[in-house]
This record gives sequence, C-alpha cells and structure tokens, in this order.
Amino acid sequence: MVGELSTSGVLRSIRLIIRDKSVVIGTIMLLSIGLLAVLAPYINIPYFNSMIFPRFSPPSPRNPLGTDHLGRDILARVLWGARISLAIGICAAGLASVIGIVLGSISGYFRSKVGTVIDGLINVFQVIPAFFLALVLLVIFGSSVYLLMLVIAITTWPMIARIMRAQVLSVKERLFVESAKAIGCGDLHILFKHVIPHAIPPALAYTILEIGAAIMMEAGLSYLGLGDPNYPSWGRMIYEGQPYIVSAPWISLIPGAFLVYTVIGVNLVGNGLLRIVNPKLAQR
Amino acid sequence: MIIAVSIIFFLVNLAPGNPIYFIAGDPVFLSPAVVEYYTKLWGLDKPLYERYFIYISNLFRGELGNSYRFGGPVAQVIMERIPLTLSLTITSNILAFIIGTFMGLRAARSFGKGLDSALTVTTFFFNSIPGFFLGILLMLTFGVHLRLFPVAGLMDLRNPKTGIMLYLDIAYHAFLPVLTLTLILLPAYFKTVRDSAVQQLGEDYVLTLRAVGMDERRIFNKHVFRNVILPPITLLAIRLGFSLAGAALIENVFGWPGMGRLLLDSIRERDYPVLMGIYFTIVVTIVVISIILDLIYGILDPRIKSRG
Repeated sequence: MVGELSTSGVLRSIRLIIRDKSVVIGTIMLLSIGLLAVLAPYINIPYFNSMIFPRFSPPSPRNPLGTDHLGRDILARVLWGARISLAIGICAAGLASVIGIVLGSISGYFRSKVGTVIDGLINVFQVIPAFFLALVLLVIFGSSVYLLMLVIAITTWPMIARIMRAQVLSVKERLFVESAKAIGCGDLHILFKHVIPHAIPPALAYTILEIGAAIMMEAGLSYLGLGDPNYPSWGRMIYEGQPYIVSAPWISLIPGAFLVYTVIGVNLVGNGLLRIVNPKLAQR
Repeated sequence: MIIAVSIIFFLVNLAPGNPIYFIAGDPVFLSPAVVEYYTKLWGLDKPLYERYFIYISNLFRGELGNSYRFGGPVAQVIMERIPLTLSLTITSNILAFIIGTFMGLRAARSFGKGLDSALTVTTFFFNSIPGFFLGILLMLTFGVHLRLFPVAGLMDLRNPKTGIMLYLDIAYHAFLPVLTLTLILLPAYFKTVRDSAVQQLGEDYVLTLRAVGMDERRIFNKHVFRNVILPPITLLAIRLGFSLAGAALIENVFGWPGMGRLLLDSIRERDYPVLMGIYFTIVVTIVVISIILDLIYGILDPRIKSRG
C-alpha cells in the first residue's frame, strides 16, 4: 500500500499520480474552474445581482453567456456560483472526512464500548436517506452557506467512517503495531502515529469523491430552493431557468454545464487516486 | 442475532430525533383563537415528551396520525403515493441492474479494448451528472425538440383515458423519468460488475476454463457471472430500500405526483405528520429490505450461511 509517509514514498506516490492520465486531466479541469472561482471578484464582470441588462438576451459580446429572466449577467453568476459550489464542496467534504476519519479509526481500533457506540451511530445514519435528512435540517434551521456545509458533512461522514474503520481493522493486525505495543507505546500514540498514517490513503481518495457528491447535493438542494438565497448557486440557476427552458435554454444549460464539468473533474481525480491507493485495482 | 439487535437499536435511536419536526413551526398569521384551536387539535399544547410518547404509542398501533394539510389520515395520503413512486423506482432500478450488469460483463470481456473504454467513459459521464439536470436535458431533447414523449405530469389531462389505456398513458408519461433514473443508477452497477469481473480474469478457474477451450461468452455468462453477482444485488437491495425517497428530485423535475413530491410539498407546507409518516415508512422499508437481503445472501452464497 502506498501509505508509507517517508520522503521516497511521497516521491513515488507523486510519480504514480502524474503517470495516471485521469488524475492529471481531472486536476487540470479542477484548477481551471478553481482559478475562475478565485479570480471572480477581480475579473471585470458585472455584479452578480445587478439587473441592468435586457432580460433573456442570448450570449453576446456584452454578456458572453447571456442574461437570465431578471436581466442578470449569467457569466458573473456562474463564476460566483463556482465559488459557492467549490467552497461548499471542499468544506463539507473536508469536515465529513475529519469526522469520518476520527470516528472510523476510533471504532476500528477500540473494539470496546466506544467502538460499539460509534458503530451504532454509523449504522443509524446508514438507514436515514442523506438527502432527506439534509432537506429536513435545512427547512428547520433555515438556509445559509455554513449550514449547507454542515448539513452535507453530517449526512455524508458515515461513508468515510466505514472505509476508515475497515482500513484500521486490517492495519491494526500488522506486525509493526504489535512491535509498538511491545515497546510500550500508548494506544492513542499508536493509533495516531502508526495506524492512521497507514490506513488513511483510501479515505482521502474517497474524500475527493465526496467533494463531487457534496457539490451535486448542494446543487440538488438549491434546485429545490433550499440553498442560500444570498448567493448565486448553480442548482438555483438551473431551477430558475427551467420555466424558460424552451425559449431561453442557456439560463439553465450553462450553469448545468459548469456543474457537470466540475463534478467530472472531481470524479476523475478521485477515481484515479483510488486506483493508485487500492493495490487490488492498481495492478491493472 | 446481530440483525435483531440492530433493528431495535435503529428504532429506539431514531425516535428521539423525531419530535424536532414538531418544534419547528413557522409563524402562523391567523387569529389567536384559530391558532389555539389547532394547537389543541394537533396536541401541540402538550409538553414534548408527552407528545413523543403519544406518537410512539400510536405508531405501535399502526396509527400515523392525521395530515395537517389534507385533514385525512397520513397512512392514506402516503398509500396513494407509494405505487406511483415505486412504479418509477422499481422499474428503473431493475432496468439499471440488468443493463448495468450485462454491460459490465461485456466490458470486462473486452477488457482494455475499445468497447470497454467506450462503456467506461459513457457511464462515468452519467455518474457525474446530477439527476435533475439530466432530467431537464432529456426533457428538452425528447419532450420539447423531438416531441416523442410528454414533458411532465402523470397522465394526459386534456384527453383522459379509461381502463387499460389509462395505464398505457401513465406508462407513456413515465418513460422520461424512468429513463433518467435508469441512466443515473446504471453506472454504479456497471462499475462494480466490471471491476470485480476484471479481477476474476486472473483467477485459476477462468484460466482452466479457457484452457479446456470453453467459449469466452459462456465463461463470462455462466462462471464469472456467479462470482460477481453478489455486490450488484446488494446494491440493488440497498437502493430499493431507499427507492421511496430516492426519486424526489426527479419527480420534482417531471411533475410526477409520487412520494418525493409529497415529501417536498409537506416540507414546504410544514405538514409534520405526513413528513414523519414518510420518514417512518422509509426507515421501515430499509430495515425490512436489509433483513430480506441477509436471507437472500444465504441462498446465493452458501459460504456466508456456513459461516454464521
């Protein structure tokens, strides 16, 4: 397993990663969208909420991607939407991954009461449809960007926890853990210094995939009108354009295209990393 | 044993979260008398724990309460919607399962060749597109531009039909939602089957069968098939469990009056009893299906049975 965190190991991993075409292409796709998102406030585009343009104008030199039903510039909204989507995707997946990795490793390492309780928690979350839970939470607490992040993280961490638990269970049995125990290292020390570093790579690869899932989930929630109303969001733009899908298809299709492009990028990177990290699949 | 314990665990642990739905009410702009009447009627004046116990005890008697919005019993409201949603989700899940498994085996057979990559790329694309957006795209292509299929709705309201034609009409309207769902669900089946089938390629039994000159198609459809079918069946079962809630977004796109729509409407209208009822139905379905799944496992893979 590419889990050894020594210098040569890192170099080897980087070489492996660069050799994988899908990771490289995905990274380029993500960097392009990320760059646009970061630069959005500095590019000379209209304010995303200003309704100063003619309504429903198709893509033209003045509005490169056209305007929507309120006369807002779609390019500006799509780029600001990219900021929100990426921010929510990355933060939600990051949070889910931290919770998942910590709880998953604890439940895998300590097979006592703590482990059982966490196992139960993971199982309970497994029977609750994530999207449903997210919907209800957002309706109850009202919607904001931060709550979206939190809700998506709360509903998606169990998957990472399950992977981490399985990993820890197998790493725990290896010889170096026994050696560490033999020389008198504490449980927490062994878990965090020795077990987690070896067990973490698949969980990290899944975290990347989770970003894509989070972006899709955010889009789905905003499509239902449960996104943060203060910021443009791709899902919401698709929803707003749907009534005009025949006469002004660009209103929905452009944010949709950005959404699909981003998720494809994320999935390329995630799947590629997973292939590298998982030796069974890496053989081929 | 483990299953039974976990089910009790699910039910007990899920319950405490439920009354939250009742706490959160939106401001009602009505005269105080009306508010008071409804508060009494719905039992909202009682303390939380009391309402909670009432709800749970009703649940055990199979009572889901009355809908705020429709006035009628929740169970009835939900029962009306279940067949409509299941007709979408079960059809598309089974279609996706069959087509995806078949495609996965086919791709593994020509591993590394053109067909394999083509199928992998296609399914990858459908894996990366949100269902509701795919729905809009299909609606635009088939419904609006090609005019092959109706854009939305359950049936033709301007030209109502009766008897067998009514069902045909509903099926006709279901085509696009089912197509969307199938395309969205398919990639996971394809990927699990293809990946595990490719792993089987190196196994001794495949080499032996090849050595004795067995037809390649027969090797795959008979022998590899038996070894890779378990994961997609698990997936199918899990997804059938979630199928009551799973199609909410796509039902919304196509205006399909199923559970998903009911769910979204109840959320919007703050119809908590209905919301709870849906929630309860979904969880029960998932738990029941996971029990059935464990039983099926024993039949499909004797190794599991012998172990425990």
